[in-house]
Amino acid sequence: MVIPCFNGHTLLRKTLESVLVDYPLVVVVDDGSVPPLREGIRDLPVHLLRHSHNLGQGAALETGTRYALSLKAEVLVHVDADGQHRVEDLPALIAPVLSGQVDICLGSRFLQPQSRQAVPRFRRLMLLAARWFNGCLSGIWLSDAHNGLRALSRDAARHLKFRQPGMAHATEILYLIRRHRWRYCESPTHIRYEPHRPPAQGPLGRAAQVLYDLLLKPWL
Amino acid sequence: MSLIQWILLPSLLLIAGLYVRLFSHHLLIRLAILGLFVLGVYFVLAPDQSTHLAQSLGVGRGTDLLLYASVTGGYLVVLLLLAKIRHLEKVQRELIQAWAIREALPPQQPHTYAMPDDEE
Repeated sequence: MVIPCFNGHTLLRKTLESVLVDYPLVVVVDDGSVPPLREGIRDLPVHLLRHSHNLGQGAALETGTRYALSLKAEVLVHVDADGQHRVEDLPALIAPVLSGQVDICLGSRFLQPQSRQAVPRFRRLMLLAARWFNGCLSGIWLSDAHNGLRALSRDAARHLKFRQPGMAHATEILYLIRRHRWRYCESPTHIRYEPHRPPAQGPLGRAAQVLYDLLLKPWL
Repeated sequence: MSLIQWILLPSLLLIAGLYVRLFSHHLLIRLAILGLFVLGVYFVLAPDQSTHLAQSLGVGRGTDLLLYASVTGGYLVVLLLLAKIRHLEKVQRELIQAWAIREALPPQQPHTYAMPDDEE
């Protein structure tokens, strides 16, 4: 399990405490947090990597994935550090990859009515636009976009290389699916949106950042 | 020589010297800088020649020709600098990632973890 984290000290610890019960091999990538994450999770049995400078979530996932591969991991799971993903959703996510049916399984908020209803309305609209955008660019039409929860086989993970180090990795992974002809599927997941836990960047700002990373930055 | 020529010629010489020193291992770049320096000195000493050159190229005034050349050259330099910055960013990213993996901290204790509530 690879968990990238930037400055989310308290939430990271809660996330780790919930996943470590069932998933012993956890790689945390501290993406240049200030202060470093080490002190807050020193007592937890996780592998801790630290970027000396903040590179972005895509780069942190890349680093963690490469390291997890060196530990002979057979299935790799990407989980957000902010506790939005539920541990209960992981077995269904991992199963198709573990059985060899697919190379990558992506979490989706839109496969079950209650999960869909939990997504705030404005965010739902933004995700609809993001799904359309991703589908047009990659030719892969999924029911969700950019929720960050995914499981990959070892073979697929070996090809994980993002051009953009930031949030655009969630779209780039669709390019990788097409380029490497990975077999893929979606698994239902429920995202916890809690009012006391505002995201670092709103959906509109995040969308603008992803568009910039994907469309403009490669040309600059 | 006019006052402005006295100012411009040493300035050109200084800038060309600094560039040549900066690119001490790039022969082609040094030659290009020297060529630009000679052209600059020529236009400073004989400003009318830039107008003749401009007219032969279909541009009205020498000033306009220099403006066009400056804008085009400016864009080229910006483009080259951006390419260089992107390359450096890529190298920096790879170094930081490699260093992070090299300095990874494995768990300090065996992988046996229970929720704090479970321990009670």
